[in-house]
Amino acid sequence: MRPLAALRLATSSLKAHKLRSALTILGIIIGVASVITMVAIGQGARQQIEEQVRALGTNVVMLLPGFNRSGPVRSSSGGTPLTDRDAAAIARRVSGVEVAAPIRQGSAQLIYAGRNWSSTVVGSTADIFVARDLTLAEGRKFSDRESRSPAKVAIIGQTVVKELFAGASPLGQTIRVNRVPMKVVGVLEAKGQNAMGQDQDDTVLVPLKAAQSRLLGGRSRGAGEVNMIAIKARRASLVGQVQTEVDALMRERQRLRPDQEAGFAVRSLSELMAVRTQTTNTMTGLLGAIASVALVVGGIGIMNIMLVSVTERTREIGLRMAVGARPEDILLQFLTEAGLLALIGGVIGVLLALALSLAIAQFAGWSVSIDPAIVLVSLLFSGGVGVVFGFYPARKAARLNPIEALRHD
Amino acid sequence: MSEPLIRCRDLTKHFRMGSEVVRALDGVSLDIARGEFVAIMGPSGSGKSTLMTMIGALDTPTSGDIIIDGTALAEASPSALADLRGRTIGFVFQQFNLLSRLSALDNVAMPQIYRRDAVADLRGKAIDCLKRVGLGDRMHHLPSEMSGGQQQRVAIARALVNDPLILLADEPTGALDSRTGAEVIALFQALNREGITIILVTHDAQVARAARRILRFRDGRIVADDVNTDVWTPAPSAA
Repeated sequence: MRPLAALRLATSSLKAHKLRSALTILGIIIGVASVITMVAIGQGARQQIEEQVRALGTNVVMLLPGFNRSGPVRSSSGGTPLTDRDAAAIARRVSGVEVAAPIRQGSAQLIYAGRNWSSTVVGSTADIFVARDLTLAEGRKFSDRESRSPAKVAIIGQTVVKELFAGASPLGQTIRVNRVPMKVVGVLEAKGQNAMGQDQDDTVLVPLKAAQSRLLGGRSRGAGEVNMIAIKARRASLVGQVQTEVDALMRERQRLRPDQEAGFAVRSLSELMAVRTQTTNTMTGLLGAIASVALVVGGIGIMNIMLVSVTERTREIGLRMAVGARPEDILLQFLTEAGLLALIGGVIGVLLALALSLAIAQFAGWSVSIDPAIVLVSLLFSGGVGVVFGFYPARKAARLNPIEALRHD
Repeated sequence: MSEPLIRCRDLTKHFRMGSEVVRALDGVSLDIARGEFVAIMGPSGSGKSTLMTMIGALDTPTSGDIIIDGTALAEASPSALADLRGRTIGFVFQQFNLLSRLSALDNVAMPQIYRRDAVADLRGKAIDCLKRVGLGDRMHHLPSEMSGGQQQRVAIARALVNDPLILLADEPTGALDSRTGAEVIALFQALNREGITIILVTHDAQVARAARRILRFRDGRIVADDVNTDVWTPAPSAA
């Protein structure tokens, strides 16, 4: 029997039992749609994390002040502070470092023309553009002279522009940051939220010395003290080496004995993110596995309906054998029917999954990502489910004794 | 004398019914030549239908040999047997066994999909067969839209579609009234005149008289093998 003839036989017998076929197909639709949707949700989550890692700046190592241990109490204050001199030393002495940007940040009250807004002030050098992958939407960066001095200039993020200027051009305007007037010389390109859900556009960039002495200074902070140093390695492969070397250099600078606990921490952002990515992968696998159960149940539905069909059509099978059908022709006929049920279910399931994913992205605000490979694998898998679960009934049909089948009531 | 078309030697067929062994065939030997019209008579359970299923390669004998058109069935592969059923033999059943979802034409064409050889104009061949049994105007009717006689003629057309050498008919008139039965018998006689060997199982002595040779079965054995000199020839009907 030619494949085309088998296909025609299969379609006509599926059409003969429309409701039954539709319900069987529904089982596969649910299975395929849930596999694809679950995997799409998982992959969407992973992609989001990867984007966040990229947004944080690739190849970046953060140097943070450590904890101070006094007795059983550990606190992040009072340890050896980091300074801009540490940043300079790292940039100079650690190989593989592209930039080391010292960062002094804190919250600040912003005022412009009667509007006020609470935001984060980040004091740093021009190197922060490299370390954090920042780009200017308009205006200019700090000049070298401004970077080295407490110049009253600021570069503001999109959220600040929106809150203070409500659409007007901020360039050249003077805003008050913690009561200090600062001139806006640039506006940053939008970056969106970071991995922790913080708005990265709600920020005011100022020269490091301005932050230290004019905006966030005072209290017990020493001169040149910074909150952290963002270090960017030249290549991703150098991140590990940079981490080790920064650690050694800082131990030397803080004169720590080998057995002494470090008063600082060196963290790689991608390392931090890797853990989250792995968690997401596990979740994706789990969701996919649960959804696969639905697909298997759909397959059992096919097997069930094919067994019914073989029993109902025993006489027809006997007749077909009497007019020259080989056992393999009968096998092919029933396998084609089962495969067709599964494939139709698979195709509709893929379409349903596309619609579901879009709806989830739209209404739940989750990011979803449909991988064409997953769609293809699901389609093949559902076809495979049809063939595997259709095989037993089809073989049962093919093994019927023709004369007993013909006499079947 | 040339090799017979069908040769049966010492056929036995035993069925186990509970603890009892039923000898449906008990040593049957038989030769049927090309072009014969043979009727097989006998009471129910005498083995006549069992012999038909053996000759039709639908079932295998417990012992004995069957050779059809030079093929020994005992040694043939399942696929060679399927070919024999599809190409050398045509079956006509008492209950017609048409597929109710298919039109008359599709029922007739059904055996063609199992042919392995390329044949030009399969559709035309199926249409010719329907015309041959006088149903050229009923091609697209479903079985449920036709009378019993018409359904049986569709079944005969289906048996003819692959140009068989042998037509095996098991009680072909059993489900028909005597007038339509006579029409079917006339059709068999016409086909026999065209050279097709016909073996017909029947209860009906009148129907058996349409054949030129009559075999009588009792308890799994042939008890009589007569030449029928008084052939009944029903008038072929227009419809």
